[in-house]
Amino acid sequence: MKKLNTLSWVKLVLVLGVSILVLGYSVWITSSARSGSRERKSERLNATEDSMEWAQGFEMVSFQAVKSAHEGDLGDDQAIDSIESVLERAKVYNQAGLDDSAIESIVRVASEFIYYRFVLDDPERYIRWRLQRDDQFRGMEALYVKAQVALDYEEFFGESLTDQTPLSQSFTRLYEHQRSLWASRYTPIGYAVDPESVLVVSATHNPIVGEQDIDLGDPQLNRLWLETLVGGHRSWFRGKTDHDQLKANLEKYQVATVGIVIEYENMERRTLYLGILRSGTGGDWSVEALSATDTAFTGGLIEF
Amino acid sequence: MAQALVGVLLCYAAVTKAFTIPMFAFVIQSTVPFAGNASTSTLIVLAQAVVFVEIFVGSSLVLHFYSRPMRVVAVGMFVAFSGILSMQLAEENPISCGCLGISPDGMGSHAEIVFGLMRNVFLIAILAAVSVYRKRGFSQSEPKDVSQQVQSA
Repeated sequence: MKKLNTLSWVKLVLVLGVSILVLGYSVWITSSARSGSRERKSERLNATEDSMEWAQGFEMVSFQAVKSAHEGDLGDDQAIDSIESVLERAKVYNQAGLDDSAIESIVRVASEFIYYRFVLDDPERYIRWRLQRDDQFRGMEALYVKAQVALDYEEFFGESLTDQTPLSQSFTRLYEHQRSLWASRYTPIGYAVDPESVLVVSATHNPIVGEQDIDLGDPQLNRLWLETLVGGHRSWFRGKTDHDQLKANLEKYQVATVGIVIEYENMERRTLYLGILRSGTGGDWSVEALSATDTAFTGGLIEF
Repeated sequence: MAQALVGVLLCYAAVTKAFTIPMFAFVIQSTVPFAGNASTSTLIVLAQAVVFVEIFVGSSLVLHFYSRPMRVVAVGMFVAFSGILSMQLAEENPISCGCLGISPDGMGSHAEIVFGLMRNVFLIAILAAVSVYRKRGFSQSEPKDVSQQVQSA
């Protein structure tokens, strides 16, 4: 074997040094992230269990009761009003300094969402409501590829989605299929109506600086509402305010989080959060995100 | 110079992957045949191994350390990456691999893969050209060296 000269030894040391440095860094950053994540997960699991126990103390109203109490031509508006009357009694953590009319419109949008998505639980009525609000389906690329709708569709139904499949059709099919995966611990049957069971928080986000921290001013409330294990659900619609566009333009935007306590068929109660946003200069609120406290994440997604 | 540029590119790819090992492990799981059922730990070790090979080969190319075998390894890597990209191209909804992190934003997944394939072909061509140039350079200089040796003898 050829002997290495001094220059080759220097190169070998440099190459190995750089390689070991980069590898070592990647091992360190990955393992510290994984162990940190394990610790955080354990803390969050404890907070989630406490939050679920705390939620057992609230008075509940079933979605079925809301639905049957307001059947008829005026039913939709009356039912939404009744949900709104619960949400508007909540304490508002107005970190963004919104005016009263902005808070009212947040509560209205959240009430409508709860009604059309959970009380009616009818994909066609839900789509109609979103389109009436001038919301639109997100683009095919965003939904099928980035949000992995195509992968799920193929896995669930053994068929490939094509560009010709209308988004409303794939939404309805997945919506109904996901519901069939829920089982009792994921089937929502009602919501809590005590003022303390509702959370309304506004904040201003700046894409350059980052998100404004949310603080409810009480460590225990922060723990029960904000430190639980939470999983996000899949958003199919884009409102008049395009979140991605705001971020791309580095524009400030206002975010409202409406939290409620949901009861599931197995009688577990867990918090659920609706993320609504609009431009920093005002305008209409767009339903952007939905997430729910959970400990296992073994049920189907809530397509919304 | 051309070889060093390919080396720098490989080093860049390795460093960007080193920052996001879990994401790269997910890409391996989703794209590499038979990796779908691998455990998270295995995928992470595999991702780190790829990062190590990339930085080792890349820095070797930059420093001209064992240039010829390193060019062969680099070409082998580009061929393997291209094979995986080609398989993804056949998928109706391929995942975005973010390979080398230098595909323009906003490209569709298929366009991104085609771009990746063209980029790999270009890099292979550069390394092949370097090999040919060096070989010719040496073969042209060899008779001179021999004649010098004959004269000096």
